[in-house]
Amino acid sequence: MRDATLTPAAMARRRFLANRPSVAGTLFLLALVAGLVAGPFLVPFAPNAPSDAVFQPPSGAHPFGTDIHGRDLLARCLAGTRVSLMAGLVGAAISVVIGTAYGLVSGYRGGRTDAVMMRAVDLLYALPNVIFVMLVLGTAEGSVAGRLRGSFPALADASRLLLLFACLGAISWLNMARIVRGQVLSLRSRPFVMASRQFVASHAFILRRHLLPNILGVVIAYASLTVPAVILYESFLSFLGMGIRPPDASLGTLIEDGARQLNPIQVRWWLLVFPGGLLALTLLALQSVGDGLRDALDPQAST
Amino acid sequence: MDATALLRRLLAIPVLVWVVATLAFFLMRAAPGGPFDRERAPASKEVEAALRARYHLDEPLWRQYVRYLAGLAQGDLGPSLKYRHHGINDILGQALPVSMALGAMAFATAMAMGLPMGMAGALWRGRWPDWMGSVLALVGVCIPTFVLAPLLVLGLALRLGWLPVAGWASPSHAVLPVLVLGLYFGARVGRLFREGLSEVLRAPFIVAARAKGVSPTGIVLRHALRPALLPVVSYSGPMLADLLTGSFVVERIFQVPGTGAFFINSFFSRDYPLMVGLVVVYSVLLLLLNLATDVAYRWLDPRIRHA
Repeated sequence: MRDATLTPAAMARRRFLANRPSVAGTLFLLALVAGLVAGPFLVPFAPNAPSDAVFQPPSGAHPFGTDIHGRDLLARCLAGTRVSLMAGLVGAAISVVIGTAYGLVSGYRGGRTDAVMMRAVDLLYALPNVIFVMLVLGTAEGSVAGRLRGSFPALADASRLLLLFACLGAISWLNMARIVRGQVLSLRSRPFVMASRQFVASHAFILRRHLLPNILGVVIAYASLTVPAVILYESFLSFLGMGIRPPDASLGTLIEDGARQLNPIQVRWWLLVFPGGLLALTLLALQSVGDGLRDALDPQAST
Repeated sequence: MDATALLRRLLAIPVLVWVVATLAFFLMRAAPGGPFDRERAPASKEVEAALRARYHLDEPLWRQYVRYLAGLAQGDLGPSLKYRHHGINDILGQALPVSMALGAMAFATAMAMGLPMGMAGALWRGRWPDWMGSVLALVGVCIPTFVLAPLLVLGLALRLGWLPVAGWASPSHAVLPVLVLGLYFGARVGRLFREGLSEVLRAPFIVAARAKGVSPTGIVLRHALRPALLPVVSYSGPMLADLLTGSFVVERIFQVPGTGAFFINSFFSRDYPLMVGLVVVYSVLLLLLNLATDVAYRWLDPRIRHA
């Protein structure tokens, strides 16, 4: 309200830039992405190539040290972060599509439909979702790989990854659906939507023209908070041996490898500290960017 | 919540459990491989046939399903295919109390840590208790249990030798797993309670209480506390679900003899009844706990209570 000439977008940008943790998080993520892109050209080791230099502590040649098979931990961390970030982005994208569609329909139809749809969300909340991801991953991988091999041979090798990403998105849309539904419910009875309805605008027009643009900010804000949540799920599954399969790395499997090397005789701290620190920093950055976006785009939300 | 609504929710639980059991049953059977693939010697055809017959795996799937449901209706989860001669009821009877003790202690720790932290943050907003709490909450939210746990083992158990590395033999064995799980959820509780309490403290009825001359302590304890707990209570449902699955990791790292290990092993060894049994037991627990949080929510919120 300081300056009446500012557009809402400019006001949101100003709010976001005033939020120091969010700006720091954004800078960290940009640096991380730059590192992930440039990494393969700068690190002279392949992430899955074994060598005789086993369990080397960090040094000039191996800044992050090497693991049990003499693989360069820096190269593996880069590869693992790439997988984790990809899981977060794809999973969040899927959750946006499902959650927005579900929330729009539920909030716009209202009444009985809304009650039934929201009751279903409540129920899904109460189920151990991660367990179903495990079941589906174990069950469907073979058939998905077979089907892909027929039509898209290039994707067959990545079938496990694709399935994992899809499953993670499929369990992460509940919050989004609730938030979108709440927004639509309050927008639906606002005068401009009422007016549009008076002029016998079609439902599709109202949804596209009045509702979607108005919930866009909130959707972006909560999508950015879904990314770290999905990354956490992915590394959790990989840690338990149900996500990414060896020799491929994700941050979860790297941390698992490091945790397995814990013993009282020889402390190989680098195996744990580097991937663990990378995951924690990435989550921290994503979380603060998401918090900043939420505060900037959804000013009514608390804090 | 009035009695009929409560009764309706209670009656819905068996239906939901049936849906979950059916899903888990058929998903598990669709997984490639079988429970006897990893016998010591490659099992001869005769041995495998005998085993399959003993556990009724040679019957058509629908009959196995009916047999399973019949057992389930009587509270019998069936025999384990891997741990022969042990009923799943026995296995869970040993493992579940351990997991539940861990979960309950972690829940208590999370509340004991998160509620004072959130309250300090809301009452001294923007000053050092708030700042410290925010940092701690962010750390708790962003450092996953499976990163924190090995780091604490490395520091407190291996380097300093203050606490045992793993196991479940004495109370000191419980300290690290409970702390790791509790910190993770305590951080979330702290954030929610801080936001809830700051919002309530701005509400008109608090201004009215202040104008009436209620002491600051009285305002917080008598007027603000109950409504401020609402976000925490409504988050408790998903939190309990995460606590249950999150304990898999913690149990695995600290080698706690709870249900976590059975869960992962039964999945990889295709121990169909054990896996389905665990899913069913978890779902029942979660549904009951969610019902309990709903009841608590209604009790705390007069707007719903008198609606």
